[in-house]
Amino acid sequence: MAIELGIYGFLLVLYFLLVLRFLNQPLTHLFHANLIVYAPVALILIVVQGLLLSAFTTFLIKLFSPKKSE
Amino acid sequence: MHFTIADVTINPLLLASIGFLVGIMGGFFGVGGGFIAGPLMFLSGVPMNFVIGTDLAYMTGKSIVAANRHRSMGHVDVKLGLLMVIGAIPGVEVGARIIEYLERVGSIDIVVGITYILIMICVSGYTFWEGRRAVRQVDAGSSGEQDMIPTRSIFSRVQGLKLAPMISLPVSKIESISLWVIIGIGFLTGVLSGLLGVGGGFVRMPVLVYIVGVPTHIAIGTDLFEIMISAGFGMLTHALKGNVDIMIALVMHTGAALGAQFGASLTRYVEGPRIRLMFSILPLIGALIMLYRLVSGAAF
Repeated sequence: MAIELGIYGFLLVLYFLLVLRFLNQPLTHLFHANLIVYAPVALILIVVQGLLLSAFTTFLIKLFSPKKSE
Repeated sequence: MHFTIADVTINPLLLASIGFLVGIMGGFFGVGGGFIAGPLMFLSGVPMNFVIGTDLAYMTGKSIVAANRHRSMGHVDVKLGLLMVIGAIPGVEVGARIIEYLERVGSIDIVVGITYILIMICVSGYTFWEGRRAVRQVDAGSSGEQDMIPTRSIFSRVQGLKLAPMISLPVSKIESISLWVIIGIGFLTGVLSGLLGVGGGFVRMPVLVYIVGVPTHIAIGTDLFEIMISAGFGMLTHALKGNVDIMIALVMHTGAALGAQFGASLTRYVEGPRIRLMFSILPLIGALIMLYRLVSGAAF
């Protein structure tokens, strides 16, 4: 679990710096300009992130979990 | 990091850590965790008008991860979850109307607060009593989880109600049950959600186990599936009112994704009765938070 958390934490910081910082301004602009567009965009973003992180964390857990003997 | 939508500066690692902790709990117990995440968000600096909507957005993402994990373990009854949603959506609306009425009468805080505390204490007390009894039976070597649920006579009677149309729920190992029972339970838990302002997971999970007769692990996974849809719906309505800072939700969700995976995976190693026994602490925490709100007048 410590290795998983380490890798995940490192990638998390990268994600904050690269993706979320770039998204902050355009989303704020959209929030103030048009809430009807902002609402579905926000839903799509959280769903897409949910699906991507679900796949990624499943991969990490499989990668580092001890192999079961059949 | 400055979150320009809510106009607040919060350390993103703090938000991700809150997400991680609540994620573990949500994945393990099948609850949204809003009753804990909300106050923690408020304490970390999220403005009150953004707390509920942003919490729902984060809950949507977290439930996708946890429900997906439970689905891969065969713990999600999609049919049951979708049918409950049909009842839950009008239920939430009815709950919200009751709130509006109580606001007009002027006794909303005390009525909702006391109702909430009483329900939580009852749920907590019963799951503790039943969970402890079932754990003792597990330790004594009895067989079959369903045999250890003392409400067998109740859910047998509920499943025996012949109110057409009858449906089967093979994933939940229920051969025949009235469609109206499932929609009705969705509706009642929806009313509670709308009335008490919570996701309702810690009411719905025990109801599925004790009244419908769904095995504990499947109740957890199905509850998360239901939360995923209802929280998404709630988030959309709050976002239209300008109450969602999606950036805060996305940051919290990065921690929650890992926590939800761990929490969901942990259920594989713990028997249903032990999960129910541990679950009994959650409603008590919810009741204590509400008591604190009533006594101190805090907004969260």
